Amino acid sequence: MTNGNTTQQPLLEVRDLRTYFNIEGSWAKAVDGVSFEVYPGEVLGIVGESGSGKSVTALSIMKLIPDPPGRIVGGQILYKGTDLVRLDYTDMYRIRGKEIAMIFQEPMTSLNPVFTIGMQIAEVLQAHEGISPEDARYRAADLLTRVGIPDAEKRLDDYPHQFSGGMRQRVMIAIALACNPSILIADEPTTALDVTIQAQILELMLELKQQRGDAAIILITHNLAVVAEMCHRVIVMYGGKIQEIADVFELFGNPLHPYTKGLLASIPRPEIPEYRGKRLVAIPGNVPSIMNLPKGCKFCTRCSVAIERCFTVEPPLVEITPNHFVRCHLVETTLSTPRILDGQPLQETMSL
Amino acid sequence: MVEYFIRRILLTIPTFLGSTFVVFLIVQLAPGGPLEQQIQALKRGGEAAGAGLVGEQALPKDAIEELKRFYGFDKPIWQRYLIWLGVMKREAKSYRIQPGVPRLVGEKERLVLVKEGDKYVLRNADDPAKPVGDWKWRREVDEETGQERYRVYREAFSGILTGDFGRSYRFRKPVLDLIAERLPVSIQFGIISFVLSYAISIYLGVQKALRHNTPFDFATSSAVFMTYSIPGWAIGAVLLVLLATDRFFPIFPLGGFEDPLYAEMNLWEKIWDRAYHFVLPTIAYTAGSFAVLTMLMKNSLLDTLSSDYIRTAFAKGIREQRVIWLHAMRNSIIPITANIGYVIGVFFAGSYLIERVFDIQGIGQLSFEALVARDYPIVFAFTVISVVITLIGSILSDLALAIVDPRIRFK
Repeated sequence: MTNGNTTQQPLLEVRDLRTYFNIEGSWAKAVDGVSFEVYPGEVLGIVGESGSGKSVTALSIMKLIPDPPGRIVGGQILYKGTDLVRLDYTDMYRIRGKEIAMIFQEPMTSLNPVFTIGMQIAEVLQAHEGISPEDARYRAADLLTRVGIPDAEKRLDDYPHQFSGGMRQRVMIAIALACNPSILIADEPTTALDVTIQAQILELMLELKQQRGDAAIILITHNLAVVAEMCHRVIVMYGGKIQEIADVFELFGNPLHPYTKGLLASIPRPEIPEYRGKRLVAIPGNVPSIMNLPKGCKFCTRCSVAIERCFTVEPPLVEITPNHFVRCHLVETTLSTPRILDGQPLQETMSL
Repeated sequence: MVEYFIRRILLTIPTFLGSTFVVFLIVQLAPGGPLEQQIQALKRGGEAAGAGLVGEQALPKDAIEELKRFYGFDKPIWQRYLIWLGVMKREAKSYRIQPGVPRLVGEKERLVLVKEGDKYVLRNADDPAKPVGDWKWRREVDEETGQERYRVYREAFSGILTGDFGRSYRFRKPVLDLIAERLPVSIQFGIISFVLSYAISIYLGVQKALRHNTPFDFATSSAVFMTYSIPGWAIGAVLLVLLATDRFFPIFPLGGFEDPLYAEMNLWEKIWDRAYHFVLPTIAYTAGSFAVLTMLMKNSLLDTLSSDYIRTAFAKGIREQRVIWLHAMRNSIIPITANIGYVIGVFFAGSYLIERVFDIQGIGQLSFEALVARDYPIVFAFTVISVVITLIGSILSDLALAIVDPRIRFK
């Protein structure tokens, strides 16, 4: 699991990624200086509210940011040593779908309505592996069976509208896994599905993950229950920046950033008697618009413990305990030589 | 799907009946019909009306009688309509006859009206024992002179459903022959304009979508809307002055459909000659049709390109050309195909003004002149053709839609 972090080479290294969108002449910093690594075999969760930059991070890795208006204005995305940001489009075609695959939030609209399921699965195989149409069809049927669609051979000739939402997401997973990618990015894969189907899809992803030990999954979600169940490590994003990175047990057991604490407090806990019948705790206010982020800590406008400094100086993302990074003025590191992932170290120690 | 099209085709029957009946009603109820013209002529000229005073507006008397028989003006309008359709019997053959005098009807048969007792009876003139078949006779009284006349006639189903469109008054020819003469010219222009405007609009629309908000996009938008706002015949006239008269660049012929020596040409010369005569009229026909289709194509493609499944296709590592021309096009073409029926109708009906400018003897000119001259059989025949083409067009639209969109196919 995550303990292997320090010894293993990361599959993917995102360094200081900045993806901005040009909206009516000014740049909205959707992702602003995000750095993290993805290691073989791990499931990395990225959580945060809508607009926190998690989907843009994922699309940046795939280089699927619509330009205009969006653009990756800085940083590096190193996949097995190659910088995807500088990679030209011809080479990017070989990465997408083959090395890094992605499934999306909306299974209802993610499949092309005018082509058969079989064609849409076979297409990715033919594009990357140069196999014959017959072989591609044979393997497509096999993939459909693996994602749990009965009578796969027949259903290859069906169109997306003949599939339910859960089935379509299974097809999307089949497409994503067709070429055995090293990294699977799942952008809220279960948000649009009902609860029982959600569980099935997540289980399917884990099951398929088991078959290939060295592959990694980046799971983007705003559902903390899903994170607790699936992920090894978690990145908490807010305002286009990483606020906290930690092992999943560490994060749930010892959340340090006020935003993370707020998120965890807002999970309904009906199993604990004293919470029953009480109002759910919510983080006050709304996510600020990315056009109008506060100057200091991005969370300061909604933080209940913010001090004056939070409004003027952006805190750095500092390692507090080994492999647990937090971006907060009010959290002090326990390490003598903490790593800093983003931002400048503070000159003076804060007194609490 | 098959069931759907069967239902769709069956539905065209009431549509056809309804639309032809409305046209029939309007034309028949409009003032200044052939009967009124005759009455006026009679008032002006009395007995001479039939011979002398036939001006350009009035019709020859025998034509009016033929018309009267053809449409049965003595009958209520719904009967006239049914007769015209060919589902009710009408006097198909009709001759004057004088009692006692044999009359040739048809090729060989001669009939005679003889008095037996105080009744007239129709007999075969050559062999009185032979039955006269379905021939009947009747007595008529001439309105002016009060004289008695006799007429033999035979009733039959004869209308558009039996392929009888009547005879043109002006050309004195069966309407079907006239149309057969003119329609190929208009259809050739129709097909060429149709293919050309779709091909150009689709290509241009795609290029505009891919270069959205670039100078190319703005320039082509101005161009298509400029041609859209100028009527085709005006473009035609300008082209003629510029490219056909010797005032500027006499490159193309001044008009006409083919060279006078067309019949003596070999195949290649024929193709070349046809193309040479077609260039300017085709430009005039299609110039105005690009705007709607091009903008439809552009917006539809822009819409599709921003959809989730296009992002999926890119995420799969499919190359851009394939994503655009296969994944996006198959979806963007759907609203365009829904337009096919309408466009077919417009192109195949011909255009009077453009045909007039280029001196092309097409169906547009024929029908317009028939309207002015109140050549009813042609007007009705033209209505039938337009209705049928439009109905076929709308079925073709549905069929094309079903081909490109599986969601419709399986409903």
